[in-house]
Amino acid sequence: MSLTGTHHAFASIDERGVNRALQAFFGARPHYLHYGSAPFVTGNSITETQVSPIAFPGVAGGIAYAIDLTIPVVDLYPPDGTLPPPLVLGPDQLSLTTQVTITIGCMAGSDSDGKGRITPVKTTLDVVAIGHPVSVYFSPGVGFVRFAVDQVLVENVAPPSLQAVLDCLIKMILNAVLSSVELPFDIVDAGFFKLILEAGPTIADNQIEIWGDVS
Amino acid sequence: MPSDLIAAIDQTAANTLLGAAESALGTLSKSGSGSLGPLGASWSASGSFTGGTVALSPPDTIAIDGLEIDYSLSLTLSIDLSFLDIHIQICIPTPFGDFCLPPINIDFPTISVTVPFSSSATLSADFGLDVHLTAGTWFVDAVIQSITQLDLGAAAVLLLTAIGAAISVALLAIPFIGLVLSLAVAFITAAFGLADVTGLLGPIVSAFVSGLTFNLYQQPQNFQVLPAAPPYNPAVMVTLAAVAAGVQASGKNELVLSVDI
Repeated sequence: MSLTGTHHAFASIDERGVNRALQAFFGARPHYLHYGSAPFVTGNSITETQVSPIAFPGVAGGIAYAIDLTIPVVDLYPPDGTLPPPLVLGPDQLSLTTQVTITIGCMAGSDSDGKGRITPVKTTLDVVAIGHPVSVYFSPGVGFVRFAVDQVLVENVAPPSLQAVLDCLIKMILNAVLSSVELPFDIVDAGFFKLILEAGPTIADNQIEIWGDVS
Repeated sequence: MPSDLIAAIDQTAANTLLGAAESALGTLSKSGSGSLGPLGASWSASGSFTGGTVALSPPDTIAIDGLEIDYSLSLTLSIDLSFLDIHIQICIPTPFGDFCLPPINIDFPTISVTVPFSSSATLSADFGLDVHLTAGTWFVDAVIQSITQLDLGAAAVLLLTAIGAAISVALLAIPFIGLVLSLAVAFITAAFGLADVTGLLGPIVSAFVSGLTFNLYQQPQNFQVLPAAPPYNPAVMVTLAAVAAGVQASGKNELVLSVDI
């Protein structure tokens, strides 16, 4: 079976390539992994993104928090190992594993000025997610592949209702983070040609594949 | 272990890329010297490549058929006209001895005749793949290996005619040539023939073909995945650690680029 099949051009990036691209992306732009309100993050920078605290009546200045992720590790179908149930990796899917650390500023007591003392309290969660690739095509050679998360499992959390809350929270966070991660066609085809996308992305044989013509 | 990135094109796409490679190669300039029969000849020429049909042939051959070489030639011939020199002195015998008129000496110079000429030739050849990392940039080049056919077309005949016309025009500008113009043109053009013109033209066209290289791929080893988007997003770069290229046959013949990052 030819690589190009019924098309004239083919490009693929394998699992190692995807992970190296993610390392390059988050290594250059770590602020996509680190979010926090003051006092944890005092401004936007290359390394951090400042967010507003959670407003809550009676909590002066709101509830301070921070969320930090490790660089996600991608496993393309077929899976390298067994995923924690009920997650199952199917064709055209990928799994992501990451650790998410949630920190809140626990305010206790107050000093002579009426301000509370903030003590960071944190938990680190092991997260496994199932997702799929999405292509966005603009013009020949201009487009990208990105990832959408379909299902998240935060391991070792009880009761189930708390797990459901965390799963949903982390799914929203991961989708927000991954919406910024783009794999341009240039990295998939190594800049060999300007792809006119006709098919894909699909995932098979541990690689993301796209097809089309060249201009 | 499979490569991290694989990009493949079939023959149809390869033809598209060939057109781009021909455009990227642009116009080449060459110069040299040779001979046209007894005449010295120097030349400068510019040429470019268009057209051609790619056939991918495993393991690593790119055959291009019908590649057109469009060239413009400026040919300069050096013609020594001393064979036309006239040295005459008329003497009339008289009872008192010969009465001689002053001698008439007409020396003709060596002239340069420039012949502008444009034509095209058709090349069919096999190219091999050359992958190299030079000064931090990866290149995949198609380099000519062997010539299947080089057809000069009717260029030699046309050039022969052009040379004759150019010589006639050049001679007209020479003082006193009128007396022997037809003799001179006939003598000079008889000194070489179609075979000589072909013998001159062949190396000129071959100069464009020798070592002919089309660049198929060129990317910096420090490869930019995403451009910088200030203020908080520096460019995202990866290293192209290894690049390989080959022609593979699996259902249909394809040119495959393999890259490790």
